[in-house]
Amino acid sequence: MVLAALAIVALAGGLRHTPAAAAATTTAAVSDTVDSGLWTAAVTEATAVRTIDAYVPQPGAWLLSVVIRIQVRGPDGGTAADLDRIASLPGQPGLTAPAPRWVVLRRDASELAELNPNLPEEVEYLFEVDGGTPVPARVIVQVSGYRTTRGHQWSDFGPLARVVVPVRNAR
Amino acid sequence: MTRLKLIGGIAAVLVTLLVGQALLRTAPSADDDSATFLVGGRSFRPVVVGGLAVTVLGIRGASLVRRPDGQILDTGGVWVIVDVELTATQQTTAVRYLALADRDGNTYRVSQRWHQAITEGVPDLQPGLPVDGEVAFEVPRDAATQLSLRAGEHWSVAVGLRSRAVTDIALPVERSEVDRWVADRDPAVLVPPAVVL
Repeated sequence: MVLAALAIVALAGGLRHTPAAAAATTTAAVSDTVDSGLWTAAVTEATAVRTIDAYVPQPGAWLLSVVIRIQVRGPDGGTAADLDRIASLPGQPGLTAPAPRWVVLRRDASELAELNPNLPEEVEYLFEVDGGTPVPARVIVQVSGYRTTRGHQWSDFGPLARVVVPVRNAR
Repeated sequence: MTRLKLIGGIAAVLVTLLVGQALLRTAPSADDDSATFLVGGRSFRPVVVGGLAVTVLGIRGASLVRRPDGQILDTGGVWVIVDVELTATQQTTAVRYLALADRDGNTYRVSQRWHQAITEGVPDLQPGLPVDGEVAFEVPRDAATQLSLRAGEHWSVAVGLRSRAVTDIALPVERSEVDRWVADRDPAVLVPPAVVL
């Protein structure tokens, strides 16, 4: 009878639809892969610079560049709008805005557009920091992304992991 | 005898459920009902989807592309540049979905790394005035020999390509061509669109 009951439940698909418990924000190491379903992200380095290519901050300010290696896992790249907002620096003093001022590809400093499947990219998130703030020895990078799927859509966008990254001073 | 009846009853229930599942799996799902309608074709021949005719006139590739503003764009894959002729067959329209698809089901939309002269929604196409020009896509090198052009009149963020017709034009590319494209570090400049008179 027990076997029959299990078979009925399995055939009805009941076990497949059990909602996954929401995962808490975890701590990841530099270069660890953070899974966001539609893409994976790995924070690889952070550097303080005055400018990068044509991206010049306000007078006196400097840029904190956080590099994240991103790989699109889905069958298409329809995630560009979300990729703009996956990096934040909680607790970092002196930011002129909580979001990066520019998001660019490391390979040629062109601005981030849609990324394609199976074409991993190193993306630089350029945060602007006011000139009175010293370069920190390390920065906490919070990686956000999706946790669960609902129907055909990924949902529950929010913090997935925090990574403590040493900051190289190249100002 | 009672035990035999019990086992027989359980077996009958299980068989009924298995048959039901098998029948359900053969029925079209909601995804099947709204699947994209692919219209196959070959290069140099017009393929019509709705009020749009698409003809592939050539394929080339590059490791670098020079944007109209002079910036050179690199890629971790390869740039595939398709020469297309687009024609409105009945009324003013535009190509609103433009991508390359590989055999594994991945799609690579027309590059948004700069505003291309031919892209999704641009240019407006007038009946009787075919437009010919080049458009660039960024694809993994391994996928470059197994691509087809997907172009359609209809696409939206909310609905995507559901129940819409798009082209499926095979692009003949050899591995040796891809190797040559990758080795060439001379940036490609796209031919801008022009009305074919």
